[in-house]
Amino acid sequence: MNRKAIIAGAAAAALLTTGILVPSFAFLSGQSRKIVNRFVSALITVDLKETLVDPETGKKVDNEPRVYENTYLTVAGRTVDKDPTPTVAKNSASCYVYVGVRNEHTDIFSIEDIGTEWTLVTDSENKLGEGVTVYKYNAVVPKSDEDQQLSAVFEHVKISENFDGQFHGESETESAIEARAYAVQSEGTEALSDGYAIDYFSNSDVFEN
Amino acid sequence: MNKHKLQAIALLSAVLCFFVISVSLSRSTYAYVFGQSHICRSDFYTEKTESSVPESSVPESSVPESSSEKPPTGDRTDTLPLAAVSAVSMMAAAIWMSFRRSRRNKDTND
Repeated sequence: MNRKAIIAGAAAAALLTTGILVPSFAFLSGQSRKIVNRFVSALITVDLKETLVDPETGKKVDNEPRVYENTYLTVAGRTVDKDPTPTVAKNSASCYVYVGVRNEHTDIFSIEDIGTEWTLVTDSENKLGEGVTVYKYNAVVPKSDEDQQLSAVFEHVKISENFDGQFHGESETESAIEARAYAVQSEGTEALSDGYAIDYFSNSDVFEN
Repeated sequence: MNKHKLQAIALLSAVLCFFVISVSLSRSTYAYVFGQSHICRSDFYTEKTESSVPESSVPESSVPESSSEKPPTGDRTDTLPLAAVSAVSMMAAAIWMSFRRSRRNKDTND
C-alpha cells in the first residue's frame, strides 16, 4: 500500500467518524433547567435587656419598656430586682445562648435565684476574669420566624449586710454589675460551645463597650 | 531510585498530609457563627452622707478636698496666669532698675 492510499484511507475514516458522531451528539445532547443553590450565611442576633427598676426601692416598675441600664441605691441587706433576659431575634440560626456577668464586688453583691433553665458554666482553666461568671441556657434555641424571649438568667441581687457604705474599689461611691449575652451556632459545636463562650468572656474588653 | 530516596519521599508526603489535615481540621473547628448583645448594666451608688447633715453645720475645714463640695478647678487655673504675670513683671522691673543703677554708676565714674 503506497503513501497516498494510506492518507486517503485516514481521511475517509475521519470523515466517516465525524459523520457518525456529530448526528449522534445532536440526538444525545440536551439540557435540563439549571439548579441554582444560593448559600446565605447564617446570622445570629441576640439582645439582652432587663425590667426597669425604681432606683430608690430596687423594685421592678411594671408596664414599662425593658431597658439596657438600671440604677440602684445600695442599702446593706437589701435584695433588689434584676432580671437580665436574652432575646434571640427571628431568623437567627439555631444556637446555644450564654450570658456572662461581671460583678465588680462579689463580696458585696451576690446573684440570687438563678433561673431553672440556666446552668453555671464551669471555668476549669480559670480563664475568666475576676468576678466574671457565665451562664448557659440549657436548651438549643431553634431557628424561628419570631423573636424568642428566653427566661431570665436570674431574678435578684442581694446586697451584703456587712456593706459599710463604701465600695473600697476604684470608686468609693459607685459600683456596677454588667451582663452580656453571647449566642453561638448549635450545629457542629455541641462539645465546643462552652469553650467558645469561656474564651469570649475571658476577654476583658467584652464588658467595656 | 534507591531505598533512601523512597524513604525520604514517603516522609515528606506524610508531613505534607499531616499539615493539610491539621489546617483543614483547625479551620473547620473555628469556623462558626455567633452573635453578641449590648451590655446590660446596673449601676449601684451609695447615698451621700453629707446630704443628711445641714450645710451650715459642717465646718469648712472638715470638708475633704476630694468631695464634690470643692471649688471647680477652673477657678484655680484662672488665678495662675495672673500670679505668673505679676512675678515676671516684678522680675523685669528689678532687672531694669539694676541695669539703670549700674549705668548711672558708670556715667558717674566717667
